[in-house]
Order: sequence, then structure tokens, then C-alpha cells
Amino acid sequence: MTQSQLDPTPRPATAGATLLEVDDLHVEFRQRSGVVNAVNGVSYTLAEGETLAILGESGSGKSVSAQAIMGILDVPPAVVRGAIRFEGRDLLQMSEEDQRQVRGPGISMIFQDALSSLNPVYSVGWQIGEMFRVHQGASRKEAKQKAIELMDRVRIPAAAKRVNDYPHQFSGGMRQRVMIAMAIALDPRILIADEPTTALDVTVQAQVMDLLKDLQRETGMGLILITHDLGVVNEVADRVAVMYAGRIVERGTVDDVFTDAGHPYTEGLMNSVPQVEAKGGRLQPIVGQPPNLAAIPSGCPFHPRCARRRLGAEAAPGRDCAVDVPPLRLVAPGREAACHYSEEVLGV
Amino acid sequence: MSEPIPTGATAVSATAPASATARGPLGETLLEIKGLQKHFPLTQGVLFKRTIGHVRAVDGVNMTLRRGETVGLVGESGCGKSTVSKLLVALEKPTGGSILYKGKDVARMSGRALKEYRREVQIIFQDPYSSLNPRMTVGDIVAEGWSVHADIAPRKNRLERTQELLDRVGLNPDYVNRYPHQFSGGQRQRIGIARALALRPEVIVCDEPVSALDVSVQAQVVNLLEDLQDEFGLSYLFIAHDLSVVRHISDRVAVMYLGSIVEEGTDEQVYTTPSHPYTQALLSSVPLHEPHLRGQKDRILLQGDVPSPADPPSGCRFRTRCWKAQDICATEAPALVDRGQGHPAACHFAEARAVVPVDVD
Repeated sequence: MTQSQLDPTPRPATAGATLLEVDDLHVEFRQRSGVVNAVNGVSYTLAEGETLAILGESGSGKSVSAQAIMGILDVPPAVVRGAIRFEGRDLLQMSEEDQRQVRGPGISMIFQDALSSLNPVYSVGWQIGEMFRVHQGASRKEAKQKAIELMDRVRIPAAAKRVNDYPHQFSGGMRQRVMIAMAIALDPRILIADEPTTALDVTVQAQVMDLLKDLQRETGMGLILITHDLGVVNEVADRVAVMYAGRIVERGTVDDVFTDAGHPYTEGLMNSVPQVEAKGGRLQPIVGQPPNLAAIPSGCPFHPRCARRRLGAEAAPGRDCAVDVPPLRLVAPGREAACHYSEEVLGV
Repeated sequence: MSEPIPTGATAVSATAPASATARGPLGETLLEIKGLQKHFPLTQGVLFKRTIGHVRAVDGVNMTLRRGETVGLVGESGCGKSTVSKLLVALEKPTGGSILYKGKDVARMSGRALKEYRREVQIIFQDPYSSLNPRMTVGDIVAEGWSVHADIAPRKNRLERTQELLDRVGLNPDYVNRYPHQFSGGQRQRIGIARALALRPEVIVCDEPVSALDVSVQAQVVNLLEDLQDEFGLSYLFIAHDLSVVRHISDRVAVMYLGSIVEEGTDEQVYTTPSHPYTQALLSSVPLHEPHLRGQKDRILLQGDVPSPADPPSGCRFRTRCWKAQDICATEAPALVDRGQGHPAACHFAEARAVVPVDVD
């Protein structure tokens, strides 16, 4: 896997210093029935003011890798290896208390299901204010005042009136705003958004994504957006990493990857999704099912579903899709793909 | 509310686009929904329940479904689209209006006629995890309908028929004795489709059939539904919130907001010349997949949330969030009629406006 320091992907003009380096991250879950390899050597970097989308289907390891960064995996059964460097310091080498000190104000996360992420028996104002009480030792009164300011910032109407309301009194979109308010309370350098709009209607999704982009412009935070929605990636992200079976299979700027995919899986995803711009012809689905992470296929994990695979005598020496694991390599300027035959996919 | 679509045979060819006829000739009207209403009572009190109001989940829906066509019903959560699907398969009784199936009122059906209706109008549910009984084998699930409708499959050939059905929906026929938990989400949805097909239906109500599936699997199920439609001449009412999927599969599209239909037309009419402000806002919110189209879209951000269906706004239901609202919108509910834009829209100030850029590729 490519070293993150050598990451050749060009930064967008707005990006600043590197905030986060994930280096050869592995996460496995040891179970009685065997080992589930959820993340298998994932590396990426995130710079200030940048939005990195991690695109993948369920079971691709996109959420687990983010949970490893947040330190919210249960260890054991989870085993985390590799390095997660936040502003140069490896979180995995720190004591748990030190990790908490770094992550608390530095990295925060929002989840898909805002209702189950909020505590139903405390008012939203109390839950937002908790950030200030715990991390800054603020008084209850100060905390509440700051909660109102934050609710204003995430554009919850009549914030002063609603600060004492409970989560069930808010709509889905408003609850997600409450979550965002809690996440940005301590002005984090990195916000990880795990499917933040998947449970929301499309008009509300547009409002929430707009809010996240505005907050990012104001604070210059780095945003990691985990999603399965190609449209959201295209409209919001600068760079994209496509994950499959716990690996990054393609990485590059959104413009490059979405204009001309360099991995057959990315290509398959693009072809299988209907678009709102045109009725389109018959959809071209990827055959088969995503793999079981307890029994990932040998060689390229995508080869059983791949239309471009080359096996046995058809394959070039050392590039048999069922035998040789393709490394994530530079296949075009600023583009990396983990496919032996990526140049054919790109048509170069 | 006026009739949205003329039902005469001559009018059909006038409104049908070329894409609809390519899937097979549009035939007779199978389902005709007129002024359909479902109001759920809101009660207060434990022992002596008093009705203090009604949730107007469905409030005056008109729609037609013809043989061999797919009508897409789109709307956001809480707009009443799933209640429409339950009313159609007679899981709920309408509180007003009527559903005519082949000209007969479903509410007045009983005995044999109702039984026949329930066989001919089948449903596929959104969640393939909770809609299949975990204690029944796949074979039993698919064949269960035959214990009621015994004449559809002769008793001795049932195993064979079940295996044929599994094969047809793309499952290994040898899996007939497996249980639902042994299948993935996409495979379970195929089981649900086989179950619906087993009774040789005319109409299948698809209530968010691909929403719970992964993107790569979604396309497999959409293609399967299209193939089955061609093969068996099925008619679909396709209910979904995903506007891209609905455009892909539908011949005609109806957009629903807070219990009623605000715009209706062919997929081309609704998507390229949306005329109701809500449809425009909805379409403009859909993220596009093409980098070169990014930023070319006419973004309309709606303010606020959908009002409660227990206390909908007077007049036009969308007026509280509409940028075009005038005094008339609060007093008079706009009829779903063509105001010169080529297809019906329920807005006093309906005006075609392209919000989705056309992909030239």
C-alpha cells in the first residue's frame, strides 16, 4: 500500500496543512467463528479545509475505518493496527486518556441516525452544553448560552425557545443539526460525517450538506464524508477514496474519478446507478454480491464480480487477478487504482 | 379535484411518450383511483376515547394505472405514499373516495371478488428483512399464497412451480429449503418478488422495493422488475423517494406532497419541465453524478419542514414553504389541471421551469 507521505494526489487550491494521516490501517474482529477482516491496509491523508469522501457499499469497511480514527471501536473484539497520525502524533501509540484529550477538541463525528445518537431523556440544550461543561469547565448557565449560540449557527429556528426541547420534538433534519452543533461545539479540526444525510429526505439532505459546507468554509476544518451516494460525493467532496472489501481500490480527485473511472468496481458503480438527468437505457449492474469479510476472495477481492478479470493463462505474469493482490498504484497523474489492468479501464 | 388524466383510448396515445410504448402497448385501465382519502382518527383518553382530530394521511388522490405500464409515485417521508400502497392492496380501508379495479369498486367487493382482487394486486415491501417470516423456508414463503388460492397451482406440482419461480427471479432453485437469514438483502428482495409472482398478479404495488439495497444490487433488482414486466405484462405502481430510480423505471410519474398529488405527467414532462414549485424544489435538491454538470443546477432550498398532516395549511398545502404564494393560495386549493404547461400541476401559478440540467452525453 502506498505510503501516505508519498501521496501523489494533488491538493485542491483551498487546502492547507495536513491534519490527518492514516497509514496502513488494519481492523479485524476476532470472533468464535473466525476473523472478520473489516479494514485491510487503508492509507489516506486529510488536509485543512479539504473534503475527502470515502465511498463504498455496506461491508466495505468505510465506517469501521472512521470508527477506528474516533477510537469508538470496542477493543477487543476489534484489533486495530497501523498508524493514525493527527497533527503528526500517532493516536494508536497514546494512552487512552491522552487519546481522549486529543480527540475531544480535535476530531468529532456525526452519524447517520441522529435520533438514536441523542439521549432521549436530556434536552438538546443540555446535550450540546455538555461539551462545554466537560471540556471547558463551563457553568450550566454559560453552557446553555453557548448551546443557544450553536443552535443559531446550525440554523435551528427560534434557538432560544427550543433549547429546552427534547430530541423527539425535533424533525429528522433538525436532529441532525443538533448533532452537528454538538460536533462543532469545540471547533474541531476534523469532522467525520458517517452517512449524515442517508436517513433524510432529499430536500433536507440539500439543506444539511449546505450547512456542512458553510461551516467548513467558516472554520477551515477538514471533512471526511462517508457515504454510498455518488451524487453527494460529486457535489460536496474534493477527493474521493473508493473502498471495497476493506481496501481502497481507487483514489483521486472527484472530477477525475467520476469522469473516467480507473477501477472496474468504480466503473461498475457508475454504470449501475440511474441518474436524474436522463432516463437512460438499461442499467448495467455489477454481478453477484459484495464479499463476506470473513472469507475475502484471494488475489483481487473484486475478481469474482469483475467483467475485466484475467485468470490463469490470460493474465500477464504476476498479474493473475485470482492470485496476485493488486497494489494501490499510480495509474495516471494524480490517480491511484488497485487494479492490474487499470490502464485498460481508463482506456489510456 | 378534477380528473388528472383522460382515460379514453384516444387520449392515451396522445399522452404516452415513445419510451412507454417501447415496453409494450398500453392497454386497458386496470386501476382507477378517484378522490381517495384516508384519515386516521387522533384520539385522547384511555377508557373513553374521544376523537380530537384526524391525520389526513391521504387526502384526495386521483390516479390511473393501465395494463403494462409503470406509474411512479414520489414524495418525501410522511407524504402518504405508503398509505396509498396499503389502501391499494386492501390492507387499509379508505375513509373516502374509491378505488376502481377493472371498473368495480374495491370497497364494495366481498367474498370471491375480494379474494380475486387480493390475488391480482400484489405488493413488494421495502424491508426484505422484516417482511419475510424467519421461521418459514423460502419454499413455504413463496408457496404460501397457494394455500388460499389453490386453483393457481395444482397441489402435486407445487415444489416444481416454486423452483421455477426461484429460478426466474435469479435464485438457485436448490435453495428452496433454506431460511431467509441465509440470504443477503438483494436475494431476500428476490424472494419477496417470487412470492408476489406466485399468484400470477396483474398489478404489483412496489413500496420502496430497492431503497434498502446496496447500489450495485439495486440495479439488479430494477432490471429484474423490468424483465418480469415485459414477460408477464405486469403493471407496477412504483413508490419510492429516490427520484433517479423512479425516472428510470416509470412511464408516468406522480409527485405527492402532504397527502395529495401536486403534479403528474410522463417522466419526461415531470423531470424536464416541472411546473409545481414543490417538484422544482425536489428535483433541484437531487445531487447530480456528473462533475461537468456540477453547479449548473438551479438550486432551490426549501425553508422549514413539512407541516403536520393533522393540521394541514388551508388552501394549497405547499403555500407555507412556497416562494410564489399569494393570497389566493391560502383560500383556494389549486386543482390538479393543465395550466398550459402540457401536463397537470396543482398550483395556481404553475409554470414550467427546467431545474435539472440536460446531460448531453
